Amino acid sequence: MLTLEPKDLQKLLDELPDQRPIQHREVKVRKVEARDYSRELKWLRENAHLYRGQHLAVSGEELLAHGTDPGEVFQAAKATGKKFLMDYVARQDEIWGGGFW
Amino acid sequence: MSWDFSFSVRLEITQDQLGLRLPIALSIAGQEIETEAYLDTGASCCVVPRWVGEQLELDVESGDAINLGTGAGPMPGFLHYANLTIGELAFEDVPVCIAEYRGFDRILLGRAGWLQKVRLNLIAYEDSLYLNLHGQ
Repeated sequence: MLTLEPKDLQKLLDELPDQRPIQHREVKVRKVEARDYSRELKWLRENAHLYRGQHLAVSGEELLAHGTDPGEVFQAAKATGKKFLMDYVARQDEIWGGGFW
Repeated sequence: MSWDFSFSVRLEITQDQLGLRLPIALSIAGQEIETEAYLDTGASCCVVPRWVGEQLELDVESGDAINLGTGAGPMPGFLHYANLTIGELAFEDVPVCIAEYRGFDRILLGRAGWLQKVRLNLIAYEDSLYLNLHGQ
């Protein structure tokens, strides 16, 4: 087994990429008035299956924009001047394995 | 033994084969997006697609470079801080990882910055998520 002198070990550690844990900022919480997304969610429940594999921008019961490029959908919806909720409708063959840590 | 909990806020969730989603508002550098996001309590931190950062006019690569571990190997991204609103709770300075690669196209609500501050009750059968600030 290879063993290193303390000075060599320190030299090796100094050369490694910085692996220090990131010190996050302190998160502050405040109460706000909850936004009402009930109309958008109702529309999505009833219609989202028609737009599989697409990003949607919905305002109330109106579909403002849809397509496979989320940036274009966002820009088109923003151009209407209305508030909207973005959503992505998964394809039927799409499975998410997850596993972030 | 039994435990009783009460909550003042109920959020409607939607479910698909990719997971459980809930509507959130995310603002970075003064720009906001309202979107459905996947709840991922197994993830260390929130993950945001690169297109979201760009549409919010953020200099994505100005954040600290970080690597998230995934089942498919490390995923590089950039650390930024965002304001996250879920129901009636607004969390300020939540760390979020903005994905470097464009193939990642959904928002994940991981643990960092908000989950430790709330009590959360999920009843998937009823499409309901109940949320209160911890201690209230």
